[in-house]
Parts: sequence; structure tokens; C-alpha cells
Amino acid sequence: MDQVVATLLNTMSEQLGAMIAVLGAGIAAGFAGSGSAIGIAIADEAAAGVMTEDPGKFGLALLLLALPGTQGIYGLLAAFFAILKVGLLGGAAVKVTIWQGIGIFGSLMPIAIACYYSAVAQGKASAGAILLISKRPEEIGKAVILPAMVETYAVLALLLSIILMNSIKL
Amino acid sequence: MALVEMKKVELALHRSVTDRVVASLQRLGCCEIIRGGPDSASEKAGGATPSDELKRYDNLLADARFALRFLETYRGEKAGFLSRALAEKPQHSMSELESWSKETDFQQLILHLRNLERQFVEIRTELSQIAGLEGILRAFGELPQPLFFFTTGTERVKGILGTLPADQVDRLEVAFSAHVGKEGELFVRINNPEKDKDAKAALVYLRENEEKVASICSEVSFNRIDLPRDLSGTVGEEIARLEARKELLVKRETDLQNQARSLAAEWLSRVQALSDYWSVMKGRYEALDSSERTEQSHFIRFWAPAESLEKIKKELEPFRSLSETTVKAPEEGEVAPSLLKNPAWASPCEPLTNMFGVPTYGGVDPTLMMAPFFYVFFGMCLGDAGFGIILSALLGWVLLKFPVGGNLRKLLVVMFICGLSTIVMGALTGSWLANTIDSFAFLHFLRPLRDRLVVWDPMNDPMTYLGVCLALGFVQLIFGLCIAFWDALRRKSYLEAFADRGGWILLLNGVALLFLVMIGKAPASMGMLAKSLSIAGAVTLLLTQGRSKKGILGKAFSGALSLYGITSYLGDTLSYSRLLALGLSGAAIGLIINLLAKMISEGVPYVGWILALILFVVGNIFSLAINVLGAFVHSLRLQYVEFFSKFYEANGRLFSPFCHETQFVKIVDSCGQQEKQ
Repeated sequence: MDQVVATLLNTMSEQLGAMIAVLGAGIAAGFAGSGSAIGIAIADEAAAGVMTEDPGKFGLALLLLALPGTQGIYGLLAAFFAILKVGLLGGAAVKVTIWQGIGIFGSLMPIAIACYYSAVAQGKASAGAILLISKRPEEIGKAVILPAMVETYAVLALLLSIILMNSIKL
Repeated sequence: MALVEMKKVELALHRSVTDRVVASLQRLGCCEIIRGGPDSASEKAGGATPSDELKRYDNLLADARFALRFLETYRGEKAGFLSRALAEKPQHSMSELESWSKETDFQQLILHLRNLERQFVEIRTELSQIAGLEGILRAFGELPQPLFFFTTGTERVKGILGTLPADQVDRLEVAFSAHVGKEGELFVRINNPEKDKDAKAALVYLRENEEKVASICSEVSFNRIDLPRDLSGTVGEEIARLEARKELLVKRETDLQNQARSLAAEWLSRVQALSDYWSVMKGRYEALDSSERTEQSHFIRFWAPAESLEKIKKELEPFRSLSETTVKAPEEGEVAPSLLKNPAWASPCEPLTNMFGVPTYGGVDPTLMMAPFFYVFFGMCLGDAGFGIILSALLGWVLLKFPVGGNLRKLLVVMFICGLSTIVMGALTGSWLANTIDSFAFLHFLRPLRDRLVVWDPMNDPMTYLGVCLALGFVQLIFGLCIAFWDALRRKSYLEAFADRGGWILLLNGVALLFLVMIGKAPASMGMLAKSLSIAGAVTLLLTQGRSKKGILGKAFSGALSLYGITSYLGDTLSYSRLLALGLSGAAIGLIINLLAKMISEGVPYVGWILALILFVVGNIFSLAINVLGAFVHSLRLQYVEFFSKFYEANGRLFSPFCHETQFVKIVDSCGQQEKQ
């Protein structure tokens, strides 16, 4: 019995830190990707509606509905950073304590939360912008800027996640 | 600042020369006609109703639009949107177009095209009718009776066709044999017993039984199908007849299409040129119509850049004895149009300024101040020398190869310069297609070369680079405030300059310096200076920001409240952190691509390197596309939201010169330049 507990404790101190980081990476990539998918779907509906009237708007609509897609990429990025940091992608073996693992988990939370919500919100903004270009395609410049205002906060979240992760010394 | 000075020109002309003068002005293309003068009320002749000439050109243009729409569907080569946008426009002179317009029998062409279009519509309508009919007939495939029973009937016998729910078929059969029996025939067919919910039925009966049949039909919810009366043979015969007719129609349609194609090949470019010519002429007569006129003279007013006045005078020289020109400065309450003028390296950014809003005439044109920041910020956001080389090489090639003009060219030039700036920023941060040089062993020899150029390493030391980004942002914000300060001085509103702008400039610089002293980046001896700057700024704001309020308490309260505005400056500065984030995200995507490519090339035997190469190329193209979009949008946003909000007034109206405005052809001056009307 004691031996089982000893093995358990041993593997825990060996691997749990890295695995908590993996959990965070999964949440970050998963939520950010889901947000982007929902956001793009919202914009897609508007684009499909506009294209029933004028299929020639495809190019402009595609540009706008691609905007909420960046959050998913930020999520993937942060996740990759995290597993790279704990040495799961090859390179020198890294020892990650449980506390460091929790730290990395925490550093992934800004990206997981802000990317999910901002992607959904940006999808709505993009849908509005798509309706704008359906009437006034010449205003595409302004139409791209409007949804980009929402993305600011996903960018800030990415920034904080990277800085936090960078500040955890392994 | 960089807005062109405008003059208002009033031109009085004898009516004998008006047409020629207006044509000259249009060719010059540097005047904006003022439509509807201060007293050009409707009683003036020609003020409200368009002239006959104008109506004529309107009609011609409407026909031309129809012809173009029709012919473009049958144009031979299907050029892509991009190559069409970049293609060179054919060049014609006005006199050439004029003679074309005279000698072309355009009405004949239009008649011909309308005739063709009508035939197409007829054929398509008939084809769709045939398709519908054939569908019905095929459903009754093995119907034994000839169809005339069901369309006209004979003297004693009649039939009906229709559908009924499949589960009612038994009821129909029972009822039919009970009530009609041997005096009629019943044909029922279910084409696809498993899927179809409807059965097809044909009932033939004596006319005397009509009422019985009708009541049976309503009981089993029978749905009657009526056929055209000219169908008389068996189903097979009729289908064959329809097929033959269809074949004939399709052949005729192909013939007509070929005819349309050859018409398109022959006429499209001619009609495009004519359409442009007519729209130029329409513009000319619109300008003429908007002039005021008396019996002998016309009176035209227009805006012109002060620098073009000489050119205009020279152009009008031949008509001097019959015209009189007065040049005035814009009067109080008049809004002159804004024309942006900037040095060659900044002028490509003009469309970006105008996209936000056209500068107010007499105000500040921010293009020149924005351009360097925009270029640098774009470089930082994209932040990869490899991408920069690809971007600038691609755009350089497009710019050399295709003679594009106007705003599209300016935009391409902006992207080209941004590409160059990206090379510089990428080299300074040591990013060449992310860490490609480190990832692949055969590139390691480039390392020393790369390392010599590196100043910052945002991947491993993001905090330093963040500081650089925020410092740049702070510089741009202060620069914006300084422009506002200078602008206020120029307008002689000194209180605004020193109190509103000066107060903030002092306070922000003081606080920033204090911050630097605190984190030890500036010598402690600066602390005293920093404190006094901050206090001077804060006191200025405190004393002046409530000046519009009444009562000492209100003034003090508003003044104190205004200091809260420092949070918005803090927010603006922090917003520049996106430069780091976007630069990092590009580099990180590249890092991942390289990591995967390396894993594949080492892990998969034999073909690994091919897969790795494909992944590398496709991945980098994808990364380039989304990062260029992101870099463009976010560096533009920094200009619009953070920079422009400090000083820029965009209430202007863009100068739109009266010129040869064309869509398909380019109008060049012919040698004689004579245009007789």
C-alpha cells in the first residue's frame, strides 16, 4: 500500500505540473476555437443572406467573416507556447513543478476567456459590417475597421498570456 | 497644412464660345463646377429642366448600359477580376470618339440586341414549359389511352388525370367499380411504392357519369391535372414530339448564342468606348445646364486650386475677347472643397486619410504626419523580414507590370512601402520567416549574418520590446497633441493652445518622465524636473478646464474632473501594445509551422521532406495572408482611433474635378484638340 502511494506521489511530482499546463492548453485552444467558429457562423449567416441578393459580394463578405477567425489562431498559438514551454514538443527535458503547472494554467486563462467572448462578439460586429457593404461596397475600409475594434481585447489577452507565461521561470 | 489653397473663379462668357470653353475646362480637369448658384432659382432658364442634349445623352447611356450588360455575358475571354482591374485601358482621343459616335448606327445595334434578348426569353420560357409537361407525362408513363380523352374528350367519353394520396387508391378502385363499373376505365400507377406518397390516376368514363365521378374524386382527395388542349396522341408519342421540339429550341438557342458571341466580339469594346464618351458629354452638358444664362451670355462658377489658375488662364486665352474671369478667395460661410497634396512618399496614404473622413478645408491634413507611423507600425505588426521581402517583391512586380492608376495604385504603393518597412523591422528583431534559419540545419550558416542585425528579441525578451512599442505610441500621442497645439496657435485661439493642449503636453511628459525615473531608466536627478512638469501641467488643467462653467465651485469641480482624462491617455498608450502582440503572433505561427515541418521531415521516411516543404509553403502563405490583414487593420486603427482623435477634424468635402471621367477607356489629347460642337 505504501508503495502504491509512494509511486503515485512520485509520478505526481514528476508529471502533474506538465499535465496541468496541458489542461490549460486544451482549454485555451478549445474555447478560442469554439468562439471563432460561433463568430464566423454568425457572420456567415449575414453573408449568405447578402449573397442571395448579390453573389458578387462573396469576396468582400469573405474578408469580413474571416475576421473572427483570428481568436482561434491566438488560442492555438498560446496552447502551442504552453506545451513547448513544458517540453512536450521535443527539445531538452524540462522539470515542471505542480505550482509552475498551475501558473501556466493561469496564464492561459486570459486567452481562453477573452478569445471566446470576443470572437462571438466580433462575429456579430462582422455580420453588421457585411450588411453595411451589401448596400455600400465602397465603404469596405470602414467596414473592416469596425469589427477590428472588438479584436483589440483578444490581442490584449494574447499579450498578457504571453507575458505571464514568459514570467514563469522553469 | 498640406491642403491645396482653393480659389473661386467666376467666368462670364458669350454664348457663342461657351461650349468650347466648357470642353477645355473638362479636358484640363482641375476645376470643380459649382452647381446651382446663390440665386439660380427655378425661374432661370435651363435651371430646372434638363436641356435636350442632356436628355439625349441620358437616353444613349441607358441604352449603352443595356448593351454592355447583354454583351458582357457573351464576351469571349473570361478575364479574372484582378487581371481586368489591372489591365491597361485602351486610349482614344475625344475627336476619334466623337466621329465614332456619329458614324455608328447605335440604334440599329440596340434594336438587334433587344430582339435577341426577347428571343432568348421566349425560348427559355418554352423550354421550362416543356420540362414541366414532360415531367407530368413521364409520371403517367404507361397510360393506355391516347391523351385526347383527357384534353378535349370525345362526344360521349371524357377522362381526367390527377394525383391522389397513395393510401386512398383502394377506396378509389372500390368506388369506381361500384359506381361506374364497366362503363369506364381506371388506370392507377405508383411510380415508387416505397417513397411516393402520391399515386397517379387516370379515369375515363361516359359523360353521363360525370357527376358520380366528381363526387368519388372529392371523397378520395383527388387532385386534378389539366393538360394543354393540343396534346392528343399517346403519352409516348407526345413525349417524342416534345423532345423533338426541345431539340429544335436548344439548337436555336445555341445559334442565337453564337450570334450574340460574335456580336460581343465585334461590338463590346466599341460600345464601352462610346459609353465613356457619352458619359463625358453628359457631364459636360450637366455643367452647362448648371450655369446661369442670359440671352447672350453664360455665367459659370467653379473652384480651382490656386496653383492651376495660370494653366486655366492660358487655356482660356483664345477666348479672351468674349469672356471675363474673376478670381476670389472663398467667402465667409462658403466651404471650399479639399484637395490633398503631399510629398511622393506620403501621398499614397491619402486614400487612408479620406477613408476616415476628408479633412476640413483650412484645417490640418494628417496624411504627412500619419504616413511614417503607419509604415513603421505595419512593419512591427507583420514583423518578419521574409514576409517583407515577399510582400514588397510581389507588389513591386505588380506596380512595374501593370499600369494601374488612381487610388488602387496608391494602395499598392502603400503596401509596397509597408513591405520594405517590414523587412527592416524583421531584420531588427531577427525574424526571417520566423526561426527558419535556426530550424533547418542547412541554413545555419546564415546565423552570424542575421545576428549582426538584431537589436531586440521579442520572443525571448518581450518586455523590452513592449517598452519600445509603448514608447513609440507615447511619442505619437504627444505628437498628435503638438499638432493640435500648433493648429490652435495658427487659428490664434491661444487659450485653447496653451490651456487645453499645453496643459496635457506638460502633464503627460512629466508623468512619463516620473515613471522612467521610478523604474530607473532615467537618472534620478531628472525627478525634480519630472515633478515640476507634472505639477505645472496639472495646475494648468485644474485652473482652465472648468472655464465654461459658472461659479467658482463648478469651475473647480470641472477642472479637477478633467484630470481624470489621464486614464484615457493611459489606455491609448497601452493600446500600442498590440504592435508587440501581433508581431509575436506572426512569429509564433511561423515557429509552429517550422516545428511541424521539422518533425515531418525527420519523422516520415523518404517523402518526409516533400511533405515538409508543402507544409512550409502552404503554412507560410496562410500566415502571410492573415497577418497582412491583421497588420493593416490594426496599424490603421492606431492612426484612426488613437492618433486622429487628438487633433483631426474631418468635416471636409473631397475636391471632385470636372474632367474626362471614364470607366473603360483612357481619353488622351489628340494633336489638334479641336472639338467642334
